[in-house]
Amino acid sequence: MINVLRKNHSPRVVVISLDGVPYSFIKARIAAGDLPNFKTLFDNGSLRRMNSVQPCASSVAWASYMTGKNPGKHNIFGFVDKKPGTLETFVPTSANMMSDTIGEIMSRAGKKVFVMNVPVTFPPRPVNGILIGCFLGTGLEKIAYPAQVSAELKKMGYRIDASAAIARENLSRFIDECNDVLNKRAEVMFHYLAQASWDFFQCHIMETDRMNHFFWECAENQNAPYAKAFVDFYKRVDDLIGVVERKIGDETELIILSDHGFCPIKKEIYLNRFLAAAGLLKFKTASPKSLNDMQAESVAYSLIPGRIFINLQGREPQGTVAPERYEEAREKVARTLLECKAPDSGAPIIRDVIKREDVYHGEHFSKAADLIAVPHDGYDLKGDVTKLIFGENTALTGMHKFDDALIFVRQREIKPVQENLWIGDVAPTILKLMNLTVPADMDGAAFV
Amino acid sequence: MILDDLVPQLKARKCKVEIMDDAVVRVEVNQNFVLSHRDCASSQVPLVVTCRQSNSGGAFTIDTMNAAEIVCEANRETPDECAQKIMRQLEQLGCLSPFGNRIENDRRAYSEAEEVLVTQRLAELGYV
Repeated sequence: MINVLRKNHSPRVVVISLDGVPYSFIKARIAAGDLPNFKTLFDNGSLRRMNSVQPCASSVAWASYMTGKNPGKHNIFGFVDKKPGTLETFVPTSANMMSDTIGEIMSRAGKKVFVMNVPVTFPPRPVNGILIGCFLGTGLEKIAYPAQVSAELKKMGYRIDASAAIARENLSRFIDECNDVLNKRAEVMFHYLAQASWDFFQCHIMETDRMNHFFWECAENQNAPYAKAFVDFYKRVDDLIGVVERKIGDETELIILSDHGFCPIKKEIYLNRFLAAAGLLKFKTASPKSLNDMQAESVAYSLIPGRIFINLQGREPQGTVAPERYEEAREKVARTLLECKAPDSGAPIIRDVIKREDVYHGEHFSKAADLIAVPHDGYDLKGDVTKLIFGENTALTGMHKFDDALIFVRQREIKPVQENLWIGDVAPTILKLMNLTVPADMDGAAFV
Repeated sequence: MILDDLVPQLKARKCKVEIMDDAVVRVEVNQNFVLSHRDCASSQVPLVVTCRQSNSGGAFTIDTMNAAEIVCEANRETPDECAQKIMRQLEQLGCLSPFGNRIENDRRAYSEAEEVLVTQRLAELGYV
């Protein structure tokens, strides 16, 4: 009888997304006995390692998660992007994401949706339900759809994001900051989990990424300063997961995922300084302020993280590389990047250089960088042209990693269609779980 | 011209757009509706939109005006405002789904001050 009733229920799905939480880290902390709720869940469901996207940045990865598509289709290529035909940069938002999200597809099908804090959901786009935008929002006033939800959030003392400026001043205070934001996030999440009408519910925890950026040495060294506070933070996340599981009961599917892994930073590398030292990038001044200070005879320049643009004639405002010499220039830049070595150890910095056509396709392909430099673990590629040094260490101790994201499904077995799962596979999987048609132009493939 | 703003937005929503002459456009909004409008941004005549099934072929009459669901005051509203008003009204009338099928919005998501703030926050995270 119960099974008959279940079949008649409209399938419901809850997603808890944990920004930047590595598969290997969670496994290690479970083995250490720190995360009992994760352990119970993972022992009784299906957990896999998953790949992120290139470049490995949260905005790009979560856009692929929401759309099931590669960046050439959804149009989000990094945390900053270039205004077409200029060397000016801007911060891409949901207004630039050129594809329907799973929330919008569900909305058109009449499903009720609650989505909270997923990167690249600011400004909030309409859904059949509630959407609370992400850390790209500048204040609570404009963070939510419908607009009246903003007032509710204000009343509840909701916080959009932890302030990383605090981490640069006082790490101890930053731990309190992350815990405070996590508490507010959980409070609001449980409020809407109980009060809102939903078929699909997602809460995104950003604080894990923030902690990992500034405390990743604690993940690898239990004697590191703040190691206990770091583990305690993850125990709070574990508690939260346990409460979610108990509150949603057995009839709702639960998915937990992250968007990329993490590894310790050996050095932050200013790739434009390397390109300049190699003679491939020239500036009009010894102290450039922006890419506009680039000389026309430059061959290439970089945007964070590791995105390389050839100074192509007809595309770039001062482009001098003739189209017929484009391939030659790309090969030369790729070869040079692979020779990039750490000055202190002589270790290679770039593991691979990917041509854009090998990872992107779609109507926004032309906006993609010509090459993606993929670093060896530990070398965090930056694009800042104002830096006059090749590399340095800052307050950041952790960096993103492509191949160590996690995906968990509580009640179904994960059966990858291809050898490696990638984050774009999640959208078609969720639609399938909700008995909705998967759009033919999605690049991902359902894995249940 | 309002059409310059409106037609790309309609096409992005997968509407079939047919420009019949310089002044009239017919749009298959969905299976049940046809939208017609006269683009008269440069005139003092109100812009009229109807999204009922119509075979008028662009022949606008006083009856068409009276039956219109959306009227834009082209002498008081900019082409962009007219286009936004039409899209919003079509959503409210149920002719278009408000969910998804976006075109890139090059209107700024931020004021200049907000963009400085967001960029600074991204820089503190090492993201710019």
